[in-house]
Amino acid sequence: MSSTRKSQVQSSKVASEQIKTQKDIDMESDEDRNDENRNDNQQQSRPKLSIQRQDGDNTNATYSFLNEDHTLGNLLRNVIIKNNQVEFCAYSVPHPSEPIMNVRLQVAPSCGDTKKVLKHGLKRIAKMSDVLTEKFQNALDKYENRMSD
Amino acid sequence: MYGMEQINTATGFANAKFGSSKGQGAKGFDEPEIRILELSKYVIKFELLNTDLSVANSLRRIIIAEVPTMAIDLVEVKENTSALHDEFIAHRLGLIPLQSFNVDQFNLSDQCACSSMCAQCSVQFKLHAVCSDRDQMEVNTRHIQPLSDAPIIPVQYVNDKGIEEDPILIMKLSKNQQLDMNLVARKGNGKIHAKWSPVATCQMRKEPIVEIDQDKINRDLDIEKRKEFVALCPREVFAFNDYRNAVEIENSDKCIQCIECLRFAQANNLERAVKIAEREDKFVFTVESTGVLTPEDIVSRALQILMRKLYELGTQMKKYGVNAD
Ligand code: SF4
Ligand SMILES: [Zn+2]
Repeated sequence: MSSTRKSQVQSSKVASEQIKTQKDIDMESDEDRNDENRNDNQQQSRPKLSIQRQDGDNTNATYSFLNEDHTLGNLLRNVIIKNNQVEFCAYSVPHPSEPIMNVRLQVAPSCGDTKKVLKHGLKRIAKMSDVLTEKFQNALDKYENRMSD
Repeated sequence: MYGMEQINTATGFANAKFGSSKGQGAKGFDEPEIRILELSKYVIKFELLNTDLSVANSLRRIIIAEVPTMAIDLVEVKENTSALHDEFIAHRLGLIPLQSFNVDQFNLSDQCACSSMCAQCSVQFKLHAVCSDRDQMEVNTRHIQPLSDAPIIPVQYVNDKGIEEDPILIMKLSKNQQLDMNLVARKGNGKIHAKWSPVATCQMRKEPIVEIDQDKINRDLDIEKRKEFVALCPREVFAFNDYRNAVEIENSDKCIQCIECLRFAQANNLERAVKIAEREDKFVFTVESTGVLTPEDIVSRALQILMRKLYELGTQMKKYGVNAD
């Protein structure tokens, strides 16, 4: 009879608590939220991106990104601030153990809407990462050709 | 509310720091360039040109913390009569690099449809070692036996000549000690725990610029001083040309911006003759893989992760009623 002793050890203790606080999110009806849960098997109670802003004022807003940090925050800020219709743009990670990153955006009244500016910023980074991926593949091919010659 | 003054400061800063913000396409952001300098089994070196610090830094951060790999995450101890306690061994096992070329087949365990674990989100191993006939025995990664045919196994390192290196030592057993464990590897990324990071190092540096006014230095300093100037640089950036008896720049790329040469120049009233700076639009990356993925794979996966991230956010924006224009 072997007296086996059993113990389970998790080799890393992961704080996987999810933040459940739902701050006021406008522009999103309940149907939208249900829709999202159906599409996402992650079943987060908080959407990946939410907006906090004052009613009727489109020229400033704070966007809250879930599961993002300085990686995207700094990149996004640097892209958005190059747009000369932007009066203020900054990002912050309120607490390092919360998976949340906020971007504060204020634009000139002539520009109209912060959403457009954010969308444009995201699109530019997307385009750039597209180009980077392609350039990296080309560089690899070139390097391999050079080596085999 | 933010005062008007503050807003202006922000815009002023933006204009000053990032050059002309005329139009939307500030120069050099949409047309980055990549050049590969060196590629070996575990290391890639490349240059990223015509881009912004924030882009290079995002790439670096994604490589370190967001490229998924497999690592041992759960250890079931059935028998451990060794000198080391359970958690200690479990931690060591967690840090063993596992070949992760097929990591895409797996789900993150908290996103998997199963209730605890299944073949889609975990790989099982067995670690059984008994020291019965010797005084001492080494337990290494070869003792880890896969229980499924998933191609996730501990990394086997190969040296430059293509010869296999010794497996990683986990611990030692002395006579009559034994170890019997079930191991579960899961998918994860470096954000959760560093054991899932695919790289040993991922460093990025700006290319240094070193300029000297040769005429001035070779005229105003005597030969002894010139030699002293060459010798003071800890990185041998300068060379002394014996034919011309003159100071020359040999390898400006080695400079570490220690400004020793500047201080020497100032002490000898030659402030303007030496200039040390860094290029703001060129970054040299050195990515060293732990062996879990090939180094070029790590970089291209990182770029794809960045793309996917933005694609997801783009669809989120659509929900807010912003059209792509
Ligand atoms: S800054 Fe330092 S490393 Fe660079 S050239 Fe001068 S002495 Fe050499
Ligand atoms: Zn599963």
